[in-house]
Amino acid sequence: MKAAAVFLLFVFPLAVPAAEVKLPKSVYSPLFRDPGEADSVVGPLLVDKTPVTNQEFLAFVTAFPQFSKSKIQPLFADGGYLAHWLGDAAFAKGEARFPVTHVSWFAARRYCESRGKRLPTIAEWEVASDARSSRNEAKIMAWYGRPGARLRDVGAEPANKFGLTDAHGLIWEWVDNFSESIMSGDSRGGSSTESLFCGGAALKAKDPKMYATFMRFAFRSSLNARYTSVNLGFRCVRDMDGGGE
Amino acid sequence: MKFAFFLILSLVQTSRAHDGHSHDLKADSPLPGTSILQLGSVWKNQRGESVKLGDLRGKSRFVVVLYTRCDTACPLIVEDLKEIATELDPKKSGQVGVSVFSLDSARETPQSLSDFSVKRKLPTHWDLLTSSPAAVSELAAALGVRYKRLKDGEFIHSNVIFFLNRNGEIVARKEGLKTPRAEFMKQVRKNL
Repeated sequence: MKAAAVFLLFVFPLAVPAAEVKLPKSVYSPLFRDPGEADSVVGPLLVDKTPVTNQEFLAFVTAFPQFSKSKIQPLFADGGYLAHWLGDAAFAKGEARFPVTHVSWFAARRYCESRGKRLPTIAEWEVASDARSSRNEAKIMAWYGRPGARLRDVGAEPANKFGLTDAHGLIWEWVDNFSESIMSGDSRGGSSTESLFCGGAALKAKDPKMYATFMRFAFRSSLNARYTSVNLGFRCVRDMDGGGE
Repeated sequence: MKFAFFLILSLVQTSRAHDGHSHDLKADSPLPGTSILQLGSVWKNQRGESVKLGDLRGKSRFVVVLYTRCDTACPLIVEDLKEIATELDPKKSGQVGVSVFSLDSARETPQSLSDFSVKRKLPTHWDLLTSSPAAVSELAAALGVRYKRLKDGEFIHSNVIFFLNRNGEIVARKEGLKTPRAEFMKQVRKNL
């Protein structure tokens, strides 16, 4: 009986499609905390090994033409949606395995839904990408310092400790709850943070040395759900059976 | 919890006939591309009735997003909105809807919405609405409302009053509490 259980444990990973990696149950410790905000637990979770590619996104817009470049409504994406594509069903030769970019939160979210998946949360993305390791911190800072860096095929670099690739140094990625990143200091129109936000979002950085994390946080706080950009893509995650909400 | 939600939903389905928002004057023409009503999510109001976002077509309206357990900014934004509504020409104010959407999918119920409505002495034609987390996050995203649920069940959220035209397009917004509203009111009157 016990032997059978052990056997199953070994066999199970083979049943996971190659394009997903398992993020074990982990603790996420936010860099910025609101009053009373504690560490949270994420996973276990199946995470796409690589960001979604142009080729994969093409299959999606073919099945859901309302998300094609010519048909998408302005509520769901700004004018830059799929700007690098040559038409509703064509992108430049050689870019099939480039990460899809110029996609809005609405489109990314619907893509994941169509695959029985969802966008990761901030906590899940931060843990799965192993963003806090000093090696990644250095890599991220180097990338941030090279504006307009060219895209390339996904999966062309060694995987991180969970088996993920391309989390840093290729694109930014959408997260489901990007709008939780609320920066104070926006005092346009003379309104204070207290006035704009119920509860007041006092930012207290846990470790001021985490510049890269800070920049991701600042970037997310600047996003809106229609926004698209040349270096903003996404990947999906899937809750494991019995590991849902 | 999920079961309870289903139960409420099925109860709501049976009372759909009383839905007072089905004045679909131009229901056959497509919604404008920026219309919030394209989201198509289904909500329930403080009377337990089911309200589809598309049902809100045909009437311009004020929209706010909050949660009724909030005892700091949320009552203030509601008072703000009450004042704004009474500033309108009484002949016209009857033609303007008010939709208060709750962020708190986990705890909000038709009862808590109704309690809030009574406690805050809200006009009975105001609709207070609750729905699933997915519906809330899409609506908030479409409106540009940022929010964060804290561990203790409270929320941090943007305080904004929106004004939508009959087709559900945002034509004016007023950010912050007790902020000047002359410009906002000008836009509102223009779109009545």
